[in-house]
Amino acid sequence: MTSAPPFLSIVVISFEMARELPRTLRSLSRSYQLDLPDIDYEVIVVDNGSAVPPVEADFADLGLDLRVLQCKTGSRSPVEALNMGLAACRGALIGTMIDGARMASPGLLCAALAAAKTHPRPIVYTASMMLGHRPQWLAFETGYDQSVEDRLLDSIEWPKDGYRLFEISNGLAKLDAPLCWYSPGYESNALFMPRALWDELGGYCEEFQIDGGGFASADLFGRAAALDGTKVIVIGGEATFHQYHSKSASTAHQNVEPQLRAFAKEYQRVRKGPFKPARNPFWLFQVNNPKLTRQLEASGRHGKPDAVAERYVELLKQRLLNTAGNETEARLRALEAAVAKAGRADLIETAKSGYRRELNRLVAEKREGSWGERGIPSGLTMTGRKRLDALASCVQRVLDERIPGDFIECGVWRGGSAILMAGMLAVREISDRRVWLADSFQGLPPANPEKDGAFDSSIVNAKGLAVSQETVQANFEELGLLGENIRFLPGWFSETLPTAPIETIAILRLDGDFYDSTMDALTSLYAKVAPGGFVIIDDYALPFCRRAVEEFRAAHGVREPIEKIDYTGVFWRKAAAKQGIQEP
Amino acid sequence: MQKLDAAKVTEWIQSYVSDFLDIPATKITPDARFDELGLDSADSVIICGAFEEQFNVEMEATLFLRNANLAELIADLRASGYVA
Repeated sequence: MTSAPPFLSIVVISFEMARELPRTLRSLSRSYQLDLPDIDYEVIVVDNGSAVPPVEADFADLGLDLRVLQCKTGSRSPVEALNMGLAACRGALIGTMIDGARMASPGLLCAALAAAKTHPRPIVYTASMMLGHRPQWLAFETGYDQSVEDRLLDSIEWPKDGYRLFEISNGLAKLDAPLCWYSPGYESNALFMPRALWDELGGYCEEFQIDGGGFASADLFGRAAALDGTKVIVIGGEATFHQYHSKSASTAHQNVEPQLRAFAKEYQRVRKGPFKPARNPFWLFQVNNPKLTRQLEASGRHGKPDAVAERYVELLKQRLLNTAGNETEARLRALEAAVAKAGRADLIETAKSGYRRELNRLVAEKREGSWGERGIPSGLTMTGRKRLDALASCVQRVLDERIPGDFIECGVWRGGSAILMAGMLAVREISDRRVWLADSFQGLPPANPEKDGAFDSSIVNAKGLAVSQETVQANFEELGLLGENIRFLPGWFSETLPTAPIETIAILRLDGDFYDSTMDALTSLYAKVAPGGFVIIDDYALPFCRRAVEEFRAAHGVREPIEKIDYTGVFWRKAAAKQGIQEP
Repeated sequence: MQKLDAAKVTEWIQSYVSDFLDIPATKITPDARFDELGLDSADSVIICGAFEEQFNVEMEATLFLRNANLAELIADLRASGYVA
């Protein structure tokens, strides 16, 4: 510690953040922050009542001028802790981070110091973003949690290049997110003001006592902006990034609305009037960062698809199911059935009575899937809407969470499921993942009565289960998806899969009906599925397919729970290595 | 429960929305649409919370969402028994 007081003080509030705080403090360290001028700065962590509070020694390797204080008011609001931290600050410029789970981007401190020099009464802040590609308050539906987040951070090799946080945050995955720096702010997790302004404001208002502080942060920001002669300055191109934690106001509830209402009630009680966002013109201190510009472009391509992409995928599903052709298909089927029954072509009129029934059946089949028993459907898949939706959801999660690997379907029929996967890659312009199609392209092999009982779908090969590779390629071509990344593995699974030149698999989709087909595919490919990747079984309703899956899982200690899609479609998500397959 | 006074409720909403959106209270006429004045769905929840605190009542959060303007809102409150 130096004898002269540091120029900059940063107050960080923690509460039950054993996982998150070390990263946050690392993001404030000199080795992580770029282009820091030659000034001294101190970090003051105020722990707000954690069961096991952090201690300074935990962070000795960071080289920070660090003090850890304990705030023992028992309040779940951080306002007293913040004021305690402010009182302990020795710097002329003071920054607060109300949520110690938020990591900083690497240019934040340099930019804050520079921006604060541009005005005599500056209120300097930057945008708050969340890790993960969807807002964390949707975690209950997206499955986002600490393990997903750790994987995302690993995928960018954090803390190697902190700007890559933008790649894995939901801020920039949305195309309009850069606007967050250009619209008037109303609060921030990284707020820097000269000590005099903090004193003038009297710190945070301690009447805000809701968990997390409610609108305390917004209240402080609004009061600061309303002070005479102050200037709000937002740092563009930098941000803080929220890590998922269970005690968080951003993630603890799936119901945002009651929380917002409670905040508003408390604000009305304290301030007796509406919360007013800062309305005076503000300044933008833009950090020109070529790396970030590239991340912005990359996020536009690889992030959450925009509305157009979603509509494209929707159209693709409809095409795969040929839902536009339902009426024609139903009429034809009814005709076929009638003619076959009568052995007479002159009875076409009979078909009219069968039309409604066939249409109903067909619509149900396209929702639930079809075995092709009552005529082969005209679409490019038999899986049905539910299984297509589930597949799309798996692909989306793999892309969002950067699970590495190719996609493979074993047993492709006309290619529908593989086409959906290819389309989802194409619309995001992702070319570094391949889509593999493993199939005999001559139908199913003869059944093995010992393993498959009386079931023999090979006998319907003649009815249309056998689809040639040329036909499947033509289907890809029709939709403009026959790219370099579409790879065919023609032949029986037992011959092609063991030596297939695939390194890592993110989606393994099995649709081979039989015991041997299912077992061969699992045996050859399961070890290649990345942790976080999905295994999807289309034929789980067939007892012998199910037996193959169960035997494989038992033999290899696979304990991840099987999730049901519909009556025959199931999937599981491969966990980290220690819980997944045991290496022989 | 004592019913609220319609005039007081109207006056409070006009004053609050005017302050909140930084627009003259005279613009918040009974038939001025909330969405056209600039209230979004999050704002509606906030105003609802403030309303509950101000008048010491519990409302459905959709109160300001399901009514397009002040006249409809007062009629709704009256029908629900909050306002005399």
